Parts: sequence; structure tokens; C-alpha cells
Amino acid sequence: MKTALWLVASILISTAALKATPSSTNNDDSCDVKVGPAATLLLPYFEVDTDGTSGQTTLFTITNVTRYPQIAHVTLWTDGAFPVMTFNVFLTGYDIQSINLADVLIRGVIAPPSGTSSSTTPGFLSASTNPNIRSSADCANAPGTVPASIIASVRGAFRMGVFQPPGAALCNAAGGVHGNAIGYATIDLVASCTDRVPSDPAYYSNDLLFDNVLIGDYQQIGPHPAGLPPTTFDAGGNPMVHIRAVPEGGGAGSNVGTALPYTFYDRYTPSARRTFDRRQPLPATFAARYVEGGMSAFATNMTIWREGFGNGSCAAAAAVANGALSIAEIVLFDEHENPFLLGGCVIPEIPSCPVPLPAASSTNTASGVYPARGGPDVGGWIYLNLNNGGSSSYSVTQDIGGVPGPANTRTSLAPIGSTTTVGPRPSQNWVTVTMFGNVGGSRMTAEFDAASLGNGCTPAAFAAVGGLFTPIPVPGAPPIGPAGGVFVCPPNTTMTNGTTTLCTGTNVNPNP
Amino acid sequence: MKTALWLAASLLLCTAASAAVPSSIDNDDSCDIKVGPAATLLLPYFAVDVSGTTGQTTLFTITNVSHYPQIAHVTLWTDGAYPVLTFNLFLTGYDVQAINLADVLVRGVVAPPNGTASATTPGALSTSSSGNLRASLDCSANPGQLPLSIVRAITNALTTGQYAPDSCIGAGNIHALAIGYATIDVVASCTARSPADPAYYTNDLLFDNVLIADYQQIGAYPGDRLPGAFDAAGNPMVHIRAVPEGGGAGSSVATALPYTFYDRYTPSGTRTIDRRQPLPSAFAARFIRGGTSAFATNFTIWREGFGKGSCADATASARMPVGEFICFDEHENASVFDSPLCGTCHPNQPMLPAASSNEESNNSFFPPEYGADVGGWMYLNLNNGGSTTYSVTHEVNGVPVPTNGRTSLSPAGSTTTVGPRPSQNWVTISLFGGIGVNQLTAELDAAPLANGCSASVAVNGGVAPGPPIGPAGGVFVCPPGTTLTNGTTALCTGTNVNPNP
Repeated sequence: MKTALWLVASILISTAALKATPSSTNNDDSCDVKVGPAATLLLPYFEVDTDGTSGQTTLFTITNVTRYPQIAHVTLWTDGAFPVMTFNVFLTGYDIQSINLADVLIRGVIAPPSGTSSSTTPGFLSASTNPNIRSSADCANAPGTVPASIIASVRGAFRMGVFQPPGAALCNAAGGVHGNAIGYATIDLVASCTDRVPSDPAYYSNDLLFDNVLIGDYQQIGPHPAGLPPTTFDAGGNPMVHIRAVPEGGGAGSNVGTALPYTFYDRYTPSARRTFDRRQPLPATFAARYVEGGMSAFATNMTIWREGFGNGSCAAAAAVANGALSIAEIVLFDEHENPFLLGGCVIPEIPSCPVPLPAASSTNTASGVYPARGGPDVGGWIYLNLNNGGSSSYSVTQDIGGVPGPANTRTSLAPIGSTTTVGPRPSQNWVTVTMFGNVGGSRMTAEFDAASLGNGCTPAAFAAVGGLFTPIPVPGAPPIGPAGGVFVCPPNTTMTNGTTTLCTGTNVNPNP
Repeated sequence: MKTALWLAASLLLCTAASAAVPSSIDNDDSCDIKVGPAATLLLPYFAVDVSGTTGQTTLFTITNVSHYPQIAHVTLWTDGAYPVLTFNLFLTGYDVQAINLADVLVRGVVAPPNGTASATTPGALSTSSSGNLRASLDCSANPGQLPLSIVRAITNALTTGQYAPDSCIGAGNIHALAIGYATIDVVASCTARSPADPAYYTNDLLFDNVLIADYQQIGAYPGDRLPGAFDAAGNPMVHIRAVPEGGGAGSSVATALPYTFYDRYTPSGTRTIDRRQPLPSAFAARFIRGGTSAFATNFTIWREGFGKGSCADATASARMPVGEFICFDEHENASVFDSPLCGTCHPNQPMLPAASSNEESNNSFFPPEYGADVGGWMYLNLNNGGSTTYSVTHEVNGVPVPTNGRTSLSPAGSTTTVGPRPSQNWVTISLFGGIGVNQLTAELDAAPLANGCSASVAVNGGVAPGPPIGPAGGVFVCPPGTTLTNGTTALCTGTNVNPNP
């Protein structure tokens, strides 16, 4: 085992050396995800009490920061990554539209009182037309009210994992079973008020647009430490995940090369044009702080979005697998830097055995999903390598061994010995942190993004920590830390002490 | 005026076209700010009730995500950008350290009970030494307890703007709370120098992107009102990376960044020596207001000041002009200060300091909403007009030397009227509402419409067809060989390339 891991480490170092010349000279070709105008927005998790008793719901708001009208295409997915509902939001130039998912899932109304449509009068700074929107946008028929029978079926999918809209086939493994409606949403810029979903390959050749013009945020009303009942009525809020098209632009159906090695919608895109969507991929490793216990009854939820397997069909294997996606590694550090792993693993040098999680979840750090703290500290941070192990339904397209064709096999994004055991790359993920506490009769709630340690262009990480009773570094594996490694020494520099021995890191975002 | 604005728009387009070939081929050379390991962290605003009666305070937490020990150097600045206190946090590998600024400013204690010191035993996965820390760390002397006289001087500076140790009157504005901002840098030893000292860059600053951090504002409330229930808002700090990363203290390494976060403080011969990413100047920020839930929104704004950190510079930095604010309601009606149909396009000029948090409905700072909608968004061009103390270093007209004159980052007719570039800024949004007896509080970053490599934008003035408000680079973009959906290319005036000077 040790020999194999050393080999892996050597391959990684060689890979880093080979990356001295990146494959793109365009500064906008970044896999880094920031808050800024984007072509796709990801609401990584929603939770709505469809009984309407507790008031729990998720609000989200989309803003068009250009003067041209735009169409935002919303898709609601179960926590098994099954698409159950789409609707369109027509935005005039500089328009802003809020959606309360309780309106949608309880009352069957989108953007009350009467929905959004292209007949809205634009503001005086706004242009009335957009040459990227089809002349027959079909938005006059954007529904304000959804038939009750359909909404009942949608609720069934988000609460029970059973989806059977009137006149359609039954899908009885669409997602998990929970008291609230739970899932995630994607919002794409499109050319007409289509009813296609992103799991339909025709969506990419007909509907999707590539202009980075939307921003969005959300508020989770009534969040509470997972596993505990809701108490008072607070809210957490955060920007959505802003996923840019790289490069930007072109009309619907434009087939443009991208320097991205793979894309956010990779597994749904047409087989011959896997990077057709040009959306930035998301990372696999995160550092997330937590608070837990103490006099203020601190608690923390990790809210996690995860890329699933398959192409979005209701095939039982895909739905069941997406409800319990494996996790590569979780290491918890307390405030004294003591590392803790999950129990239950018996093989030294093999890391902990995290509990699988679905495509969308919000879990309490005090639950069995996370390692238990061994001391009295009330906080620390958690290293999350959320790679699900990979899949042959994933692709990497750009510059594989010099061949710019699709590949579903191992690439330099999935080095041998890494936590990607199948396919060409790690899976995509996103993490937000929600902290809770009590001061007297009042509550504190704060939600924010966890820090990503790499980006979607970063190779799969290796299992870093093992040990039967005491956590120890896996011999030869790169230690937990920022992608690229530390320390980095630019040409002709040394470290402060004049040496270069530890200069093993790189500044260059790795490409495959 | 319309002619002048069109001229500015034309210049912007020319700039975009000439930027078709970027100056760097390193993918890490990005001016985009993300939440990820960084070499500098910016806490854009803090507010602490130093009387201790309301419990209002700011907490922040720094995490070292590398297995090597690191030193985080904290500097507290007034809202006039005057540095009044520095302290160091020694972080062993994978360490996490929370700071309650009420401990520092009320009780005079840094990281109670005993501060942080290099004598801490590292964890099982942590390394005990680092080649980037000096052999003589001086961290054993890290103060846990600050002298009371110093704490008083600091709180005076943060509440009255008077800092007695430097005989500085006008270091910041006057307010009941201690208000300012903080920077946290990775450094090589437990130095006492502040980032306003040029020697800080040649001796102390490191370049490893290894720190992450977040903050919570305890007792946040709508800007102009009294504190109500005891809630908290939280957000990541601004994570500012060194580009390129690495090298020992004092390393002078070229960067593709046109200028840097600490630009105005760096040594005159090596203006980009800090290699820190610059911050943008134009933002889109959502707001909610009124209604049955008593919605309210604070815009919390950090702004780059003028000068090099002297007392006179702080006085100027405590009241700085802004480029332009435009308020859009939910029906896309736009308003500026004078009227929604302003023809002069020069609204009443609001003045904001280096760190502030104000309610969106405060029309001393932000334009009124046009109608009765309970929400909308605000376009914030926070450029302070520029300064000749700012620099642009990288490849200005092909000459890689510092310049303080006009560059392509400050096109004629833009909101930069002096110097080579726009000023740097950051904006967060705090949303408030009341449901029954409970408070809703949520804080999040506003969306930058550009980054620190983007050129200054011109005033729109709230009158079409001025230079349109929108993402930097413009819309629409058409990659080579493509058209818009309708088959035309006439509106393909945008660019994918981040402009470099």
C-alpha cells in the first residue's frame, strides 16, 4: 500500500510539473466560482414545510443586471437529482423577481398574483428586445397557477420520492422520504420559455444561452439544527452559486470550444458535445467551520449539494444511488488541531468511512454523519472531500493526452490512487455552513459558503488521514490543504529561511 | 452631456477591443475574488458597543488550512483607514482561532485567556516548523492582555476619531459604536508593523494562500434604528489571494495583476510587491424595504481610502465621494438622487467613509425608491474618483513601470477623474424583517459587476441611452464564428477577456 501511494504522489508531482504551460491564454477561463453575473444559478438546497404549519420555506430572488430582457428557466430537482418541475421567469431589463417556494409547492402559484410574462412593460432604462431570445418566446403562456393535481404530484416527489403526474409514468424512486419537501434548483438563462429540463440533451442544442447576466440569492426561512424541531422563526441567507459560461456568449445552440475540462451539466449534455453548456464545474474539497455545544447551545448544519450519477432518468439504480452517494473523506479538527475520524473502519491507512449523503442535504455536525469531537472545545473546522468516487457517465473533454475528444476513462483529474476510483474526474459539490446559537430568549442564525480548497479543474484528492485508533497521515499522500499544495516558490525565490526543499506547490490551476 | 457620455462609451469599447490578447497565460492570474484559501483577509466592517450595554460586537474566526504553522497579523483600522492596533495570532497547522472584538476593545484581551503563542503544541497532523517563518519569531511575547491606556486610546480613535498616541484628530468619524475594519495578513514573524509601513512589505509579509475566515456581527440591526432583538448575521471575510503565490518574506516577484490591494502603502519602487488581488468598484446589491414584515436592508461598504495612511489622509478618507448610485424597484423603474428623470445626471453627491453600514432607505446616502415596491436592487459605482497616490504597474502602454497618470483603467469620461484606476471597494447586504416578535437577519455579499482589473465605468445618470449598466465587458458577447440567436452580430460588442492595462 505504501509503495502504491508513493507512486501516486510522484505522479501528482509530475503532473504539476507538466502543467507549467496551461492550455488557455484567456484570463476569463477560470474554474474559480465567484459571486458575480452568471449564466446558471444553483440553489443548492431548499426545504419547504408543505403542511404549512411551521412556516419553513425557501425564498430565492433572481436579478437581471442587463438592460436586455432575459428568460430564467427554473428546474426543481429532488434530493435524488431527479427533475420534477420547470417553469420560466421572464425578466425585463434590470428586472428582479422573488420566488417563494411555498407559493409554488403549497399554493401552486408562481410569482403571485399572475406569474411573469413577456408582456410586462420594461423600465425606462431597459431595452424591449433581446436578439438572443427567440421571436416566438412562448412566454405569454408562462403559468401563474399550476394545476392542483400536478402540484400534488410534485409535492409527492419532494417528500416521498414518488412522482406520478397525471398521464405520465410512475417514478417511485425519485428522491428521499422526509417530512418537508427537500431538493435543489437550477436556474439557467434560455432563449425561450421552454418546458425542457436540463437532463434532456435537446435542451442544450435548442434552449440554453451563454450570457453571464443573472445574479441570485436565497433565504431559508425557519432553519434549525437538523434533527431538532423548529423553534422560533429565523432566517439564513446566502448568494446562490453563480456558475459562469466560459467563454461567454453566442446564440442558442452555439457550439463553442471551452478551456474548461468538463462542465457543470456534463452528464446531461449530448454525447458528442459534452462541454456544450460551457458552465464552470464545481469543486470537491472544502473547509467548513463549525460551532457545537457550550453555554450558547451552538449548533451547525452543513448544507451540501452533490452531483449525482446517471443522466437524470428514473432508473431505479440512478435514483437509489443518488440518494446515498458515497463520500471520500471527512476529518474534523477541534480548536486544538486534534483530528477526529468516523469510527467503524478497521483497516489501518484506510481513512474513515463517512455516511453516504444524497444530492441535497442539510445535516447537523453533531450527527453521525460527522466525526465526534473528543474534547470540550465548542468549535473547529471540518475537512470535506465530497468526491463520490466518480462515474463512467462523467467526462473530461479538454486535452486528454493531447486528444481533444470526450473521455470517460481515467485522466489526470483522476490520478491512480486518488478518491476517484471510476471515470475521469472527481464529482462536483457545494457546501454552505449554517450556525445557530441561543443568547437568552433570542436566536442567532448565520449562513455562508464554506471555503473550497480547490476548484472544478483540480484533480481528485487522495485520502489523507488514516489510522485505527489515532489519526495519522496516510503515508505518501498529499496532506490536507489548498489545491496545488504549499509551499509555492515562484522562479528565483526561496522560502524565508533560504531553502527550497519544501517548494513542491504550484500556482497553476491544473488542466487535464 | 450626452455627447460626452457617448465618447466615454466609445473609449470603453476601444479598450475592450484592444484587450483581446491578455498579458498572462497563467490561469491563476485572476482578479476574481472567491471564498478559498488566501494570503490576506478583509473584515470589511466591524461595530462594537464599547459601553458593553447592548452586547453588539463583531466576532471573526481565522482558520489555517495548511499543516504548517502560520502567523496571522491583524490590523484594526478606523473608518478613516487609519491603523490603530496590530496584533498577531500564531496558528499551528490546521489551527482555528476566534476573536471577539469586544474582548479586545472592551476588556483589552486578545484571544483570552492567554493570547496565542508559538509554544502551542501542534495537533497530530500538524507540522511543527515552517521554512517561511523567521527563526526569531518573537511570538512568545504575543500579548494576551493589552495595557488599559492603549485600549482607551484605540476605542477613542474608533468612536471619536481622536488617536492620542499619534496626536491625530480626524482619524475617523464620530459614532457611539467603535467602527472600523480589519485586515489579516499571513506574515513571517510576530511583527508590530502595520500595512501602512513600507517596511512591512520588504520584511514581514508572506504570500502563501493558506487562510480562510468568516465573521458574525452580533446584534446587527437596520442602520438608523435602535438595536432590537439579539440576532446575528454572518458572512465569509473577503479572501484576497497572492498572485502568484509563494516565496519567502521580502520576495519581490512580478505579478500579472495591474495593481494590488495594498497599492498605496507599498514601497515606491515596488508597488505590487504585496501581490494581493485588487477589489472591484461596481456592484449590484438587492434590497427589501417596508411591507407588513417591516423589511429593511443595510448596505455595508468597505472603501479604499486616499493617501498612505497619515492622519491627514485619514481625514480625507473619512468622507469620500462615490461614482453613482441608481435604485431599481421591482418594476425596473430607476431613480437617482435628483429625480427619476434627472437630466443633468449629476446627483447630489453622497459621501461615505472607508467603512460604513447604512440603511438602504437613508436618502442621505442612497437614492429613493421610485414607487411603493417592497424590494429592488441598487447599482453601486463606488469609485471615489481616483487618486495620484494610486498606481498601475503592469504593462501600461507596453511600459512595465509604475505610473500614477491616466491609464486604460481610467478612460477619459469615466468616474475616475484623477490617477490611473478606480478605487477598490466591497459591499455586503444585511436583510432584516420582523415576523411576530422574531427577527430575520441574513447577510450576504453583493455581486460585483466587475473585478479589480476592470476599467472605471462612466456615469449612466439614469437616462437611456447612457453607457448601460451591466456586467463588465458588456453584453452581448459572441465568440468567434457565432451569432446571436436571431442570426445577427450587430450587438456583439462585449468581450470575454478581463481587461488589463
